Amino acid sequence: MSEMVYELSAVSRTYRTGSALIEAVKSVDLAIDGPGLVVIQGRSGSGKSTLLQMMGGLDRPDSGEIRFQGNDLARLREGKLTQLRRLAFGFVFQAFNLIPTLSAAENVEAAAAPTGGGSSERRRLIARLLDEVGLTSRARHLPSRLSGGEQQRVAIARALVNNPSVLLADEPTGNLDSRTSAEIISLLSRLSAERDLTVVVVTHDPAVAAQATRRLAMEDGHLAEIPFTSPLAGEVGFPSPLAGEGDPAA
Amino acid sequence: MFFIAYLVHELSRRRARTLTALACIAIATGLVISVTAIGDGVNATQSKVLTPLSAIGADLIVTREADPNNPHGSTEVLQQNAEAVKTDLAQLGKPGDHFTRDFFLPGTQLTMPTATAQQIAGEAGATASSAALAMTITHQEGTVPKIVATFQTGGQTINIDQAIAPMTQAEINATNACIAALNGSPLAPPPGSPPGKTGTAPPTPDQINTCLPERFRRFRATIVTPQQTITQVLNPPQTDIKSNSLSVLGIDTVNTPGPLSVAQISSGRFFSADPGAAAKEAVLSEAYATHHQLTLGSSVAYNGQSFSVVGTARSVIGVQSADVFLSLPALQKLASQDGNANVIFIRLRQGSDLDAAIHRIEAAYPGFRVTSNRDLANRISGSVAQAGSLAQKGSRLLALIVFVVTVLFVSILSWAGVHSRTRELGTLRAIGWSRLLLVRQVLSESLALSLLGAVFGSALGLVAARALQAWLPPLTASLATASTDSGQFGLGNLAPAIGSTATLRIEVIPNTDLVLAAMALAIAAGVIAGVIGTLLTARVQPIQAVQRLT
Repeated sequence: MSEMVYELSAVSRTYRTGSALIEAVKSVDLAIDGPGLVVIQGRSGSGKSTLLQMMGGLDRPDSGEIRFQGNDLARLREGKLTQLRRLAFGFVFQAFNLIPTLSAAENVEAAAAPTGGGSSERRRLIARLLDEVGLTSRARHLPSRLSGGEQQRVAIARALVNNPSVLLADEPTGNLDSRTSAEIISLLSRLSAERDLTVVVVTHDPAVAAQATRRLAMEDGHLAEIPFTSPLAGEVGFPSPLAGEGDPAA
Repeated sequence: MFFIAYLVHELSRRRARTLTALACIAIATGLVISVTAIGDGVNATQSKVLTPLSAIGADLIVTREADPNNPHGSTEVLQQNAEAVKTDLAQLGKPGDHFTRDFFLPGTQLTMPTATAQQIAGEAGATASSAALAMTITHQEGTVPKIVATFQTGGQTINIDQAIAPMTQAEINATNACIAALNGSPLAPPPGSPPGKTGTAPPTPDQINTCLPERFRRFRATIVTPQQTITQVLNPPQTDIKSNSLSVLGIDTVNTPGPLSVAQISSGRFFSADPGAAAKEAVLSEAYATHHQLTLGSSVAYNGQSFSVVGTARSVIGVQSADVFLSLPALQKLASQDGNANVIFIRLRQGSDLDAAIHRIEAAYPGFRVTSNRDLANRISGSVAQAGSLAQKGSRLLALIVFVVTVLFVSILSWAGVHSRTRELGTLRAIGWSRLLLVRQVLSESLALSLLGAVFGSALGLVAARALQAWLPPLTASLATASTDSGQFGLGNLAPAIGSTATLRIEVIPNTDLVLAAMALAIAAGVIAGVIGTLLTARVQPIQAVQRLT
């Protein structure tokens, strides 16, 4: 049996907003055992992005364990967590989060540079990645001169540059039109298959969910599996995460 | 390479922020350089003025002054000197002759044998000394006038009113007998003779004049007129005699220190090394040469002896100066002061006790006055003396204020810059940048900015200093006259007070140390600002990459 990619047990996260305490994630258990496109759906404020951030080592749970490659991300020291973020995780953000003063190629290099290594080899890798996401001709362009879809593809190339084992995408199509969204989801799906990559996507986009190899639903801080027999979450006892959804931010 | 490229792009592609910070640092650096240079310039000018003897390499100047309160002073000598300036027209030549005369006076500085000067230098423990003779030349030139006086005499009336005694009978008889002998009638017949004797004619006037007694024929009297003095105002004779004074210093052209150093020569050269050649040369003060339109190669003559002008010299405030510098032997001969001098310039051994040296001289040689830089500094006033310390303190304070303001401003910019990049920096943390790497990057940006600012600022400071040099008004310095001292070193009123006032340009020339210090300050400001920025950077968490959106 292959080693688990992720094992989350009783993960909880509470925020304080003013005088109010918000339990964003409530005792979530989750196991991801291999490559594939895992989609977490849920309404805005359901806690799905918080869960993703904790899985990527951007945030720590208040309680519970997040085991990844034998490490508990909840208790890992900062240096080791940084190293995991650099080498094991690739992040794709809703707002692309590109460095505005760097070109597309340099943005990809920004993730590779801290790992060291030869610059010529790195440049070849970046060129290959940009080619893979279809942006060879836009390598020298600043983000401000790229479309939303192009920027997100640069972000995906950046996320892949250190050859991570997990790619975490938070609403990757949230700022894109439907056609571009489809392209991005298709790209993520293809990369997952080609690179034997675990891709975890937080979204409310049904088109993304349609491409998933595994679907999860987040509701009020609780996580539940969505069986493939029913694409909608209603069958696991949650209201459909897509019903009445209007806010793209989650 | 990536990190350098990132740094360059950050600075070049966030142009407004970069230029603002760059301008701030550059202006601050330029201000620090130019303001400090002004302060240093004023201070240097002041130091130069307040330590005038240093300019000629001397520590002490010794003179022997006439002081009516000092029993050792000799006012009689001074009076004799003053009386020497007499113009006896009779001695100048025949009327109409052209004449020139030069009187040499030592002013209020009494002369002393040069041997005494050497003894005094020895007493002070001098490593080097020289004697000089300061004189005032009163130059007269003109034509011997003709003096003609016309006196009018006579016109006096002397009246003599004197009764004459009548003729006696004997005289009558003698007169008649005389007339009778000349066949004339008697003047008066003898008593009893008949009147109208016939046969004789009345006496003629000639007969009467011949025969009258002697006292009737000639009046003889001795008249003594009263003694009187006739006073008549004469119109002064026409003359073109011109008189003017100039100061002259006879200097030791071989030994230093002296009142004229080679450094003071502004054109031409110093005296020849050969004393024989130097005795025929003269160096003029710039002002005197300009006023009298004398140039190098011109000649000046005193009492018939000609000297070739070989150089012009700047005067140093506080240091005895003169219109004309001659070699000491030449002036001694001209002024009939063979073997005499009246100023001694002394350089002490390094580290010598100045006060002790002064005390030794004054104790051993009463009546001699010892002047040091300190005495001169106390007597110097004017804008230099007032501006010096103020400018020095002010410029340092201003530089400090500029530095602090710059640090504050650049720190705010740095803080604001980091704050506006929070999501960007959070993203870098999210994709695996360590806290240290992020801090290094932000700090490098500040450092690069401050380095650039320091370079531009230094250039700006140098340009500003040059502009200020031309724009700043000159400073003035005056040497005060003490009540017991009628002039500079006792040269007195007889000598023009050359060197007692000066107009000085402030040398606003930043030196390398100042430029490097200003650059270091600029870099320090950048580092401080960078550190403040990095304090915020270090607190950036990976979650902040997405926090604004959630």
